[in-house]
Amino acid sequence: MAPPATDAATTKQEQQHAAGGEGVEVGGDLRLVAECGTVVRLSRSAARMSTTLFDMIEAGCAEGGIPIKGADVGTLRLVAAYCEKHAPHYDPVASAARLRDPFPPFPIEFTPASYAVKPVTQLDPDPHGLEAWDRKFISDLPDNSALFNLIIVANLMAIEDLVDLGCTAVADKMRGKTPDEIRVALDIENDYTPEQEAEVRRENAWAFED
Amino acid sequence: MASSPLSAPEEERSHSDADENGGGGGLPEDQVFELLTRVPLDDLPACRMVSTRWRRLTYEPAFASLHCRRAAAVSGYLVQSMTHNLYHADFVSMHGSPTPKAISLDFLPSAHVRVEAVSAHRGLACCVEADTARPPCYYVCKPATRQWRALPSPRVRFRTAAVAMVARPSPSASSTAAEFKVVRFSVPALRDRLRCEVFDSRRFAWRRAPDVPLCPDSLFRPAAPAVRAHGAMHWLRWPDRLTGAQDVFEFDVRAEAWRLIPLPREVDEMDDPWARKRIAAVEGRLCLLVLTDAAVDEEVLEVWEMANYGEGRWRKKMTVSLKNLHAKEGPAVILGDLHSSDVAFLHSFCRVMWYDLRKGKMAEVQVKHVCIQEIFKYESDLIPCDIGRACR
Repeated sequence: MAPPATDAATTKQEQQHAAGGEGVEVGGDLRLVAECGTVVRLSRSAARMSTTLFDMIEAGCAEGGIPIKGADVGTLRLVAAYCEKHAPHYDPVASAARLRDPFPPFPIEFTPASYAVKPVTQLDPDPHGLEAWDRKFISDLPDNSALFNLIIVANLMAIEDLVDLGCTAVADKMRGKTPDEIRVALDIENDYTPEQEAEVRRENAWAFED
Repeated sequence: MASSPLSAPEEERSHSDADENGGGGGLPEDQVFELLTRVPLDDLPACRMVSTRWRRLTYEPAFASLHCRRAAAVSGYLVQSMTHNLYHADFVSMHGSPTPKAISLDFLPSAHVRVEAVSAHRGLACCVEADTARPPCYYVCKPATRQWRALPSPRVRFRTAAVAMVARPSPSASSTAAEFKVVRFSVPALRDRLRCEVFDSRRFAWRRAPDVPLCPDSLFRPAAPAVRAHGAMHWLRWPDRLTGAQDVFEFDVRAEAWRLIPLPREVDEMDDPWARKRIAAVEGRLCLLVLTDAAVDEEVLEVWEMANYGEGRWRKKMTVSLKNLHAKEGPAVILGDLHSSDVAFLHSFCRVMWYDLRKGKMAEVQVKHVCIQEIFKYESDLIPCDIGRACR
């Protein structure tokens, strides 16, 4: 879903990109083919965010349509919109440190979760308005299955930031819920036997009578 | 066309995804793992109850470090020792520390405190003033966020035998305060029973509970703090003077009922007076650790697990020789706790370590304690909470 206005900007970028690559033919946008055959366009700079697509661009096999199995059009469009929005500010090193590496070799400032008590004076944590856009992006999703499809497709395309965003959104949805409510919300089958369930329930039983 | 379908390597995965989804819609197992590492610590007990697959995922070895980083939690041990008549407690963790300042008890108003009990949820600890010149005062604190609150004193003229603390796993709908209960056993003048007092954070007062007719010397100043498993608190009693038999004293704080769980018969019949026994909780189940000397310079660790809690039946889970451990780390390492089903927590002169019994040492931390006396397992998030606001 790349508007044509960005083509001019992206051709400059991917010319630099191609100059560093193997001298492949000038590309325009990538064409991602959804399950039903509809094509969703994605500019090359936005495709950098997906590790799989980036590797394909580097290897030079990103021409023609790239079929993405298991992704429907709506989800692909959402993924493309996310990539387009975040592409200019994407920093692979910072995102890897935040998400993947539990023991990075460089120091990381650890900010408490958003619902913790915050100090009064603080540097602006959201300089580009990305977090507000992310929140709106998640809250605009119609239901849980759309969110799950988003996570699955983002995992397929190896966009760690989007996977993180989706998983954090689902984890926030699960806050303060009882196990039954979580099972209903995420459609999980309860495979505890009644004895096991009684034992696990006793483990977490509170000491009061309520 | 040189374009390859994006999901060629994923094709096998998408077939097995249907099996992994648990029969419903939803996410594949990898995504559930990613999801669970981001769930806040308070909601993790509820997630464990959702299904056996989720529970298994939370107990995987790779889960703990990722969860501590992503969900802003700390997980480790508070180790305490006494030197020069001063108690000193430190926090050690296998994962990196998310807070810039190390977790310690220096924020309490008294400089000399002793940790009596730590709750399994919400990261609360109960400490008592240890300076004998001052009147004894009990505190409840959350070391991860440096919050504390003084409690009214119980009957301190009776000597403390054992203390345990339980907290409500997640904040209730009605209040965001941390609700907890502190159980204190003390020795009355006649020394034939245990006095029991329970502190309730909702009433913010101590209340007398029915006495426990056990010989208090068997529980007096146990070397190990209470172990929380199956929703109750457990202590390993000292051996009976005449028969040498040992058992586990279990106290259910909710029902204020107690019982004695005998040890497995094989352990009782073991004719080794030098066998060292400890209890620990692994994945919510009570475990018995027995260390014996099989041969000269070879220590053998037996791990027994509770197979049926209602009947009190044990099952031997594994037997491990600690010969390699002692060969690498020296003979003076002491087994403190079983951190997970394969990882043991050991301490030695001025250091503590986490040792995977099958693969080798995982982590080591230097501490300033010559000989650690008490070990409390501590897990907490970094969110400040109201500690038991009194309801009027």
